[in-house]
Amino acid sequence: MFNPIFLKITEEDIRSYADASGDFNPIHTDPAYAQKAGLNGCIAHGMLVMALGSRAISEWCRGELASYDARFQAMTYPDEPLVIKGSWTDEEAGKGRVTVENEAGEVKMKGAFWVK
Amino acid sequence: MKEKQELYRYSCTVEGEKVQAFKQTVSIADGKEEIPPTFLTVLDFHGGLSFQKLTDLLQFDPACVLHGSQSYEYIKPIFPGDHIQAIVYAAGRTDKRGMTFAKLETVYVKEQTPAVISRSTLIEQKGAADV
Repeated sequence: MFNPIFLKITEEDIRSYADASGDFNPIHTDPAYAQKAGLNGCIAHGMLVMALGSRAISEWCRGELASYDARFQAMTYPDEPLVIKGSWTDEEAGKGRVTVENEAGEVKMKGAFWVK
Repeated sequence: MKEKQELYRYSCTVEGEKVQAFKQTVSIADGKEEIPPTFLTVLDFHGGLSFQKLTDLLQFDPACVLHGSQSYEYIKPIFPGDHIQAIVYAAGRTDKRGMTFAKLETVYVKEQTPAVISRSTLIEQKGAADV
């Protein structure tokens, strides 16, 4: 098991990610649009969550990523306390798993990686 | 759909400023020159494949789209300044329990050979929103 990483994604982080990525889907930045779509408010980009997962992998493991897969399981709202967890599934082969979940254990993203 | 069909293609040069802005946003300070693992989604947006364009191509209602999964297979590194041609394929489309699942595959070509292959699933689900 790797050292867990605790973090929050703020509204500012989401706006910054929209600017940096070019993903201006209003569901992430316009509360009224998000509510019209049936949400409680703006949500983080799934790809932002995946990027934070990749940052964790680079902190945990040496070597170059050969593959990285993610399944998005639940929406991530601003300021939710999150934890990124990871472990080897086959250390010799460089294969591991990574998850992002909130304090209640709701899994936001479940991923697998392979480093060479 | 049995065979993948080309949906869109673009080519562009990886801009160092955009890579730095992305790294700053997700607090990546790895000292590596190559692009971060998920930066290619940025390349798509800057290459003209906006979320609106993609949902138009898939004929999905943009307010009802979930990003179900995303994967990357890294073959060779991409650096700022590299010229990339990206070819986006529709790799499958199925309907299940009132939802439509669209599978996409994007091949990022650098110097005539694939550098990264991306695969994703987008789901159109009425009453839900993009993750």
